[in-house]
Amino acid sequence: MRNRGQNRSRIRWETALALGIALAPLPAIAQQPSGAPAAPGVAAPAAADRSLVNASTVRLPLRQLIGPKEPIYLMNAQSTYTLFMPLSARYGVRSCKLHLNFTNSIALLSERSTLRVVLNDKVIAQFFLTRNEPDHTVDIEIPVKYLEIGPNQFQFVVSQHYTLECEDPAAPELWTQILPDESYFEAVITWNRIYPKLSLLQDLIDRKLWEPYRYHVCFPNGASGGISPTQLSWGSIVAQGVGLNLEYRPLTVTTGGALLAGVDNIVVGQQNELTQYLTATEIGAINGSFIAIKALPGDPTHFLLVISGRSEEEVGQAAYAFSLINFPLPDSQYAQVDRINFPQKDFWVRNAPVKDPGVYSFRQLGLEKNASIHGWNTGSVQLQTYMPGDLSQDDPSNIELRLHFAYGAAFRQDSVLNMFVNREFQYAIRMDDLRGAVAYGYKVYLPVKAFQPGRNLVEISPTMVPIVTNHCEMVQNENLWFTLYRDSDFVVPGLQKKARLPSFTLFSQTAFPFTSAPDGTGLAVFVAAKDNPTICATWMLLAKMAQISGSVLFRAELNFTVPKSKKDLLIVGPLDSIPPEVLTTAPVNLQQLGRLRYVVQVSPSPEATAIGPVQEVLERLRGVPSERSEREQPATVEMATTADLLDDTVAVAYESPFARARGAMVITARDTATLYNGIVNLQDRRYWDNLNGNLAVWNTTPRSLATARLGPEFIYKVDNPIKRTQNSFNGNPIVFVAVVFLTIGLLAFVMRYLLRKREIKEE
Amino acid sequence: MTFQERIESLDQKGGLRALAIGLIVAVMIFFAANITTSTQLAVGVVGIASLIVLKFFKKNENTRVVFLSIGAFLSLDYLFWRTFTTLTYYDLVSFTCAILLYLAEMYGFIIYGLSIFVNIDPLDRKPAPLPADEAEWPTVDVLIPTYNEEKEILEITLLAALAIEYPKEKLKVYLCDDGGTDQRCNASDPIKAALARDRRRALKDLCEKAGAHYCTRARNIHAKAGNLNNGMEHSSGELVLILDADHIPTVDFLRNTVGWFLKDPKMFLVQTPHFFTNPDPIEKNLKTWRKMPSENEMFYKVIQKGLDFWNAAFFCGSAAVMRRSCLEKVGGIVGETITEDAETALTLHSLGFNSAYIDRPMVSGLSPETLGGFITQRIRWAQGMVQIFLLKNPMLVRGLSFPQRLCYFSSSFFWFFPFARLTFSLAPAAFLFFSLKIYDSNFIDFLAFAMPHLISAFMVQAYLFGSVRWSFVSELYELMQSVYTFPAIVKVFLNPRAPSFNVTAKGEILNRDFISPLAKPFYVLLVVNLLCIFAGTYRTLFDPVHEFAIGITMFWALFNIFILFACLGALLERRQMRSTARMAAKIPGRLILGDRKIPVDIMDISNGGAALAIDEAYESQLLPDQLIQLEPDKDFDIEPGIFHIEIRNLRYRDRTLMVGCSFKHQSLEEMKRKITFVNGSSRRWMEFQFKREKAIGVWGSFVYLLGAGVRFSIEHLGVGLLGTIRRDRESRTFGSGAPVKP
Repeated sequence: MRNRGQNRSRIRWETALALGIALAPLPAIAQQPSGAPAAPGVAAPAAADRSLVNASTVRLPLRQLIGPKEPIYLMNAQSTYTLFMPLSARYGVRSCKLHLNFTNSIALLSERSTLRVVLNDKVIAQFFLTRNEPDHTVDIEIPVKYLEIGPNQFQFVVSQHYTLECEDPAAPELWTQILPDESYFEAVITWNRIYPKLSLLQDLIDRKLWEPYRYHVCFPNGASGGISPTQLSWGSIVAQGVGLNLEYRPLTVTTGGALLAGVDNIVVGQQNELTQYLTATEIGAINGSFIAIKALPGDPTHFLLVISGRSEEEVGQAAYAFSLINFPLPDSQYAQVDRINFPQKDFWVRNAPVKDPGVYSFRQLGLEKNASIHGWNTGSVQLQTYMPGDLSQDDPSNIELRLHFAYGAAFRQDSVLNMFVNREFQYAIRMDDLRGAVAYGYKVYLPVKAFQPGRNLVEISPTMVPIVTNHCEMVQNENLWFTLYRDSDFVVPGLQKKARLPSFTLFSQTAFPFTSAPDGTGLAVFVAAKDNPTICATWMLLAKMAQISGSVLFRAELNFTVPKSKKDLLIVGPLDSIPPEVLTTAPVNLQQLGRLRYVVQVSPSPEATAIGPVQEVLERLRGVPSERSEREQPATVEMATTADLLDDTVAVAYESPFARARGAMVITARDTATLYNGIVNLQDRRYWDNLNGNLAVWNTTPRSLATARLGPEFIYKVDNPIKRTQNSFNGNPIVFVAVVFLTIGLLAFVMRYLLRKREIKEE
Repeated sequence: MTFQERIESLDQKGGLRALAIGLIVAVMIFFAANITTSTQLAVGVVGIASLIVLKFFKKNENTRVVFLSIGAFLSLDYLFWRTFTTLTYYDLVSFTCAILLYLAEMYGFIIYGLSIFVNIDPLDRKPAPLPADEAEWPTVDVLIPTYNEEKEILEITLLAALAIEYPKEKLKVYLCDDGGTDQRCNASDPIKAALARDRRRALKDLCEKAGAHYCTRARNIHAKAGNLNNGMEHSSGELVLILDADHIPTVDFLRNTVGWFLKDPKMFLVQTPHFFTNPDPIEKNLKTWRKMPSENEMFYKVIQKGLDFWNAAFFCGSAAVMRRSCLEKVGGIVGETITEDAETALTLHSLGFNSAYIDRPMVSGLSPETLGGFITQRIRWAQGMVQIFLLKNPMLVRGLSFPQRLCYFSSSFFWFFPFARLTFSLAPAAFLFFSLKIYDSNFIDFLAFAMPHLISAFMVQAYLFGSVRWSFVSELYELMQSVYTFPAIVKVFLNPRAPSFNVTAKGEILNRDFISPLAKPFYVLLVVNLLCIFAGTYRTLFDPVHEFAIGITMFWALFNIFILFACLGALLERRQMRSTARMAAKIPGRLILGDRKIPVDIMDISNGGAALAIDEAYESQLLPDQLIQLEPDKDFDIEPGIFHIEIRNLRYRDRTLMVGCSFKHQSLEEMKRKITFVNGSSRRWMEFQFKREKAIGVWGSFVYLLGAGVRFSIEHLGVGLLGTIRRDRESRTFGSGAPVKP
């Protein structure tokens, strides 16, 4: 066995990030029998453990499967809306139903208008769209046998008519609306046995779970001596790894010294501290940075993950390796991490922002194959791109699309190719050549202002109309083809970088400024209390930030003392544990909650004062209005009240008291439990996506989120002096022009002097 | 310490040069700065506005460097953008064409940049005074090389050389005849041999009568350089004045040039401008003579002065005084290339000797009359300068200062213009016909980077050369030459030592209008560009995808057509009956009819004759073929005396009786006086040049050339299509241009 293990240890598993993990000798833990994997979609056979037989009901609102504010409208004579319902392999589904709430137009002809629900290409239900009873609430039983592990395609297909005669297929009264906030999937599930392999970690820490993922972190001395700063850091990295694996799904984490039944457990500690969790043989197998997985003792439906090493450094390396695992390898219960080779430049696990200037092919933006679209109003090509967190919203330049596309013949003259950025219309191209056309390098310019820091969605949506659309005439749409080639280009110009802080909008989009360096080099986290809920709240917040930025902030400095460094400062803790010194620059005094400032409106000062073309040109030269000076401070009314935070969680962002042009943010609540719940809730998109201003107060009973903008703004400091100068120049063209021409003038003066000297000599 | 003292102190420590380098680096950083398009647009707008303002302060010398620096900045900014943004690989053919276009642009950039460098502070050098004691003046030999020029032309040059105001004992004139060498006199063809012997005898007689020295040699080795070296072997003066056979010197030539040799012992050359009394064929055919500055004035009025500032003014083959001792150090006139003049200067500069240029026209010569002669001359220049580029590259030759290297590089590299011109002429077709992507840009970027560069480049050109070279004239002359010099340059590349010296024909006469046999390639270029317009129009209607690129290339093709129209106009060779051009004048004088004297005004004059304005009351006293005497007043300090003339015709112009007459000198002395009167004053030539030195601006020049181009190209097509003038079959041989020798 030993020899075999040594042979295997020479096998290198290299991820794209050059993560080198060598397989370690097979430890004793691997010899233990483990449960067989459950058949997909089918409940695992009942086991002795009660967790297998204890069925529970889980619910998945439709809203979670679509955009936060996206409506579901089915227009025209025929229309389809598609969404994907995820199903985790960890669930054994006993039964499942779709609770559907929809409303149709009262102009529909009931006997010819239907809605059918299609699951993975099988019709599972159909309904008449009745004009007399337009509001429908139905429960559709979903046959479990049709469900598959992974994404399940649900299609809502309508046929809508308003007459038995010839009709306009695009008549505006042909509509049905599905209400995503009132509709949901509901399933009775049991938990399947797990199959303990590291290669399956992605399916175990599963983004397809309908409920927030829960796990428990054990530190050997976590129960007795409290968590050390080093363990705090390990826990943070592990939480970020879990968070990244869940993509945007929320997570809940607890911690303690002992294993917790009923949830996944992750044990982090040095080899010699793990006696209470592992057998001596298992511990003996730890010869370096070590990651192993096995079923939780007594609960084969959950796992116990071991992250260990012989020293703190080895444990830290193992934790970091775990956080980067995003590929189904190694197919083993354990792995020993020999080394981690970091790329020379900044790197992300995902969501890497574009570099500027640069030319990206659509293939790089996710269009792996040429995209062909057929039919009338049947979809769009969507490209995701990530912009730097400090992208200026006043950047006047344009992003260039060099489109390579083809469209079919015999389109009606009003056929167009629409372009949207983040659902906002930007540009259209007429597809009016009756013979069809192939365009190579068609240039389209999208203003940088249309893009936001962080994730952006570029949609290229052909609206193809057949040339024959007369009533009562056969309409064929086989000509309606559009292909977008993957070698089209997305050309990013030199972007203007200027982040105005504090801004929760920016924080919710990119976790900026705390992720300005993707490895967290510039971040200091102050955990104001040493109790477990506060620590877990901090980890959950960092995990959310990792999800947003797509990177592990493994170099972030985490501590229980106030870090007075020049870094961006994140403070988490109950109100009474936060020292006043970190709040000196805060716009609200959280210590004196009876004294609050409320924003009121006054007549705004105009951003520009130019009233004639000449002044307008001068103003333009001076820079875009918002760059000229700080934005107007909101008017506030301060009043002394007798108040308490009660169940609210509060977040406030401001300029760091310890470093100019650096950000600071405090998240606090009355007590640790409220704070913990507050962070759990904050991960909910209904809260997270609506953060703005620099003061946020939220609660779950009843659900509420209030935000405000208070206090002064500042421009985030760019470390690189060249970039800083560049930003300054771009923001103030007149300064750049002045510097350029003054330099030329000075150069001309010096040259003239030297030339004159020569001239005198020649004469 | 005053500001001036601080600056001087800084300069002494080398700080000023360091500061200049630092500022140049700073400017380079601005190019590399990743600024937004709107900021770039602001830079362009402010830059152009600054140039417009500075243009009004042109007379202030301090603004010149600022103006040129801003122009250079805007163009370098474009260069960075062009290099790093617009060269996109789409496919091999497109990319190849894009690179060719880019190289053509780079050629233009290098020449433009060098032009700014060379002309940043032209030196207006004044003549150095000679000592009062003539005994201190150096001895001078005047060498007049000749090969096949007519005796009449040589006679004028010889007499004018002998009339130069200089101590007679210190001035010797040598006619160096390569047309009467032993080799030619003993040629196998008996007719040629007889002609050579006759020529030798006639020229020998002429020299003896005039008081000059005739010298020839055994063999025609090393062409003009060998001929001049032979002349130097026969002479011994400290200085050598070299004059082409048709270059008639003014009397003050040596007084204005020799002083610099006394002032600077390391001076090896004092060059003066070549001034022509007749139009070149393009001027003649487009009828721009006397209205527009001559083509060579850009070089002699500005560039040579700029070169002089950097101690790089070079020998132009004639109208120059050289120090014999310096020439002897390099074995005489160097003849490895066929532009022996520039090569000799380059060699002597590399040895540390100095040169000077005095901008005062002190010779009057003849331009080639036909396009054939003109092209022959330019092919020789192009091949010679490319030979220097290949065989004696100024950037590699030891001993030159860095500015001298740049100056010589500029002079030799300039002659690669045919590549750029032909590329620019054909590039629109690459896109409009074949959809090749040769310039990857969008409208906004083009507006922000290319437009400021284009506008500033035109403004800088107009600033530097506006009064001596109208806008678009360079494009016209270069395109006219490119078609023929391009293959000639390629030949030099294939065999750098192959080109041989071809003598430019002078003094030809054309007895009628005809289409130049050189016109055919220009028809092809015109058709290609006209088709580009059709293709562009079609694509605008049916390919709206590329409307910006189509618009730009159509504009480009239109510009080519504009230049090609002017070329076609110039390719219609105009009749020319006079071998000596008449210069406008206003000299009072008298006609002597027996014992009566009639007041006259000399309205124009040449070595052949003059036009006289006389009161109509005297008409009855004048008859055609009548032999009378003319007594002009002193003009430009030259006392003319009395000349015998013959009345050729009488006509009225605005109620003034105009009498055309020809000179009928009775002695060699009278002829010498006439030549001195007509050609002896440099002030006359200066005044003539001054009259046509006027800037008409970019738009004015465009309108003028467009008018001339359209009008004369229509005439050209009329001649070609309708055959209103019969083509002379004999004139079809290349370079002959249907001349009729007088």
